[in-house]
Amino acid sequence: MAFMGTTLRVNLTDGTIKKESTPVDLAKKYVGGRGLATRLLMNEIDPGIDALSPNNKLIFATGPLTNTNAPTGGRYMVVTKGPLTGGVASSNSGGDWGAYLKKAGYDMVIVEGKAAKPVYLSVMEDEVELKDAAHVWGKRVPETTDMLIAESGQKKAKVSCIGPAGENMVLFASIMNEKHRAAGRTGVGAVMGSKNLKAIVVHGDKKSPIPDPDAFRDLVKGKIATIRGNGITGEGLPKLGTKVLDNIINENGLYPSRNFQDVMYDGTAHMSGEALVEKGYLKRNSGCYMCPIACARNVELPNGRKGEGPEYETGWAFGPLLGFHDLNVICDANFLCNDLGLDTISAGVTIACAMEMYEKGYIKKEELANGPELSFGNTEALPYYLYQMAYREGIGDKLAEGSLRFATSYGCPEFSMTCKGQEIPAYDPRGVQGMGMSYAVGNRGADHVRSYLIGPEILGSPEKLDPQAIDGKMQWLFIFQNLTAVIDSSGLCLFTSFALNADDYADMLNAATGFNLSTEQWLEAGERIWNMERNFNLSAGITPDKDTLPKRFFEEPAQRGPNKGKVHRLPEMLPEYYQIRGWNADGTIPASKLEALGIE
Amino acid sequence: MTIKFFATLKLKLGVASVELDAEPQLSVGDAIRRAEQSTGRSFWSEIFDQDGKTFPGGMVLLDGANIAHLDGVDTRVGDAETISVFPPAGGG
Ligand code: SF4
Repeated sequence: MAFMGTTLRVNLTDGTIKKESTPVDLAKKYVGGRGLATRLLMNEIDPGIDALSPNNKLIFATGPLTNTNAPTGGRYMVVTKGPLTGGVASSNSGGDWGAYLKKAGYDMVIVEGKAAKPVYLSVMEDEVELKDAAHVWGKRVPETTDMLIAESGQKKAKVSCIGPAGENMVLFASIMNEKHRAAGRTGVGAVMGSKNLKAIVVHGDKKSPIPDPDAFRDLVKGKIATIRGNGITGEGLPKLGTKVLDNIINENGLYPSRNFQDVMYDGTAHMSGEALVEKGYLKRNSGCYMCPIACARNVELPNGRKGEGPEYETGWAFGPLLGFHDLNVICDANFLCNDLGLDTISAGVTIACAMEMYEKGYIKKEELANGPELSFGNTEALPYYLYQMAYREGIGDKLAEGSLRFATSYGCPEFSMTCKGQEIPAYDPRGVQGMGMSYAVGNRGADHVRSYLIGPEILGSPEKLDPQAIDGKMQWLFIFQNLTAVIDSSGLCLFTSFALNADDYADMLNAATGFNLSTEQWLEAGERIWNMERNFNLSAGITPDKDTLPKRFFEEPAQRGPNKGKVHRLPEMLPEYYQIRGWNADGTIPASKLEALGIE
Repeated sequence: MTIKFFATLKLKLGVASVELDAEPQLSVGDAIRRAEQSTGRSFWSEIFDQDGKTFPGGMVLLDGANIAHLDGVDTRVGDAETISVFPPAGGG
């Protein structure tokens, strides 16, 4: 039933590796991937522990649709307690690695403890071993990947690894697979580094056992046709990637610049997705495993450097947010972060925070120790401080803690554009009320991919909502959070949801698992996952008063564009959100709610 | 006024914008028809369905305000300076 049936449990402290049965009976309640792994994390760790201690566990988890021919069926999640927010961390990645973990015969890898010296895990079907990683420790992601593939003797082996940023426990370090695909957010790479685990190499050619493969193939064909026929997934994303959003979001007046001091950026045309094509930098698009959309950008710069990216968020975080729009600088910084294993959003927003603090006199020039001025518009500052962050050199050691800890250490946390300690992505809350709420109540802190209300509020998908309206928005937020939890847990990419609806996911999950649950039951599983994550956070000490936004968004109205004069209206929406969720008025979850959802 | 084209529409037309004489009584729909004439290319059906509603992911903004929340293609341009036209697009 689409699960391989076996999970690896690897204890790095004593070096033992156990093969356990995957608890597939829990999949009806928690689907797989994000949901199932969070359930196991809840069972196995105390939410109060230090995220970077050996007591934390790091779970690599696929979903039931991973390694099937369902559209985008190659994704995996990394789930752990995160160092940035102190709450549940889980980060999703595409590429091929997730599918190959299942091809090797395993649904999940649960990593425990801490190795005495750097190691990597080699998973070659039945042969699973911990190996010495001294020779790759300190190496960047591409070199590590190439060396470990060569060592495996399997050209098609896939590598998920950390770079220097993860080794140095930068709190927003990513885990990278296939060199360019990132489990980017929430600092999962720092947890991997804290365990002295450099990489997991996987290879195999097993198929996922589907109850009726012919029926599944026919079903999936229909879903792929729907994706291809949709204007967003069939044309917009393949041609221009997510970077098509630069102009859309700017023209709609919610494209943050200069650390969210402004809501539009005048040079957007020079660095937009269109510009990437017109300047001839875009060579081709490509896609992850079994992806009919293929939104990835393959870029070659005039200086000869090649790589993947940038996507929308990275282009913004390394450009307009910092007050410049040089595509060469943006792309190079993107390549650098992929090589070092850094989350581009948190890295960019942290540098933006430092720039505002420097310009306002909170950081003294001497502290930069002859480094470039931390001023908006200074392109030299970006690669310099990214490098310093990854290696924790100079002021980079403090920047590596993320913008909230950084700004707080100078007594000015108001310059940190974060929710619950994680940096805010590229949509200004003052221009989009629902998305702003999504940041404020997110289980992983500020987050755009756990309830992408930009879909209805800006793009009109599946229907157009007024971005400034608040009536009915919390119901949309509730449904989007629940549905996204199902999609993430299934092993598919969220971008399929521009074309597919909840029934489509229920169809594919039922066909893969043989469960025969209704769409409502799958959505209830999503609701269960959301509540379980919230429950973990509450137990970890993340109190409901953290369901908020930086005060800038309440006190400094947008200065221009269609949202001129607008602020975010969180206080009017938060009580309704708690009510729709069935929570107490103070944001805690009543025991009766947990019981009704069957969360033990 | 300026009619700006974005995304695949801009790439297809090969121009970023066209200028039209401002007439406050002109509807957004008429302005877009005039833009089609001046570029020599028809693109209406890439943006609007048969009822004149923008496809999901597509949008037309009048000085940044989405006409979906005004009177759709019948919205008068008034003293607006810019109409921005986007074919279906999305991302994250
Ligand atoms: S849509 Fe883009 S991110 Fe999603 S699976 Fe396809 S290529 Fe990967």
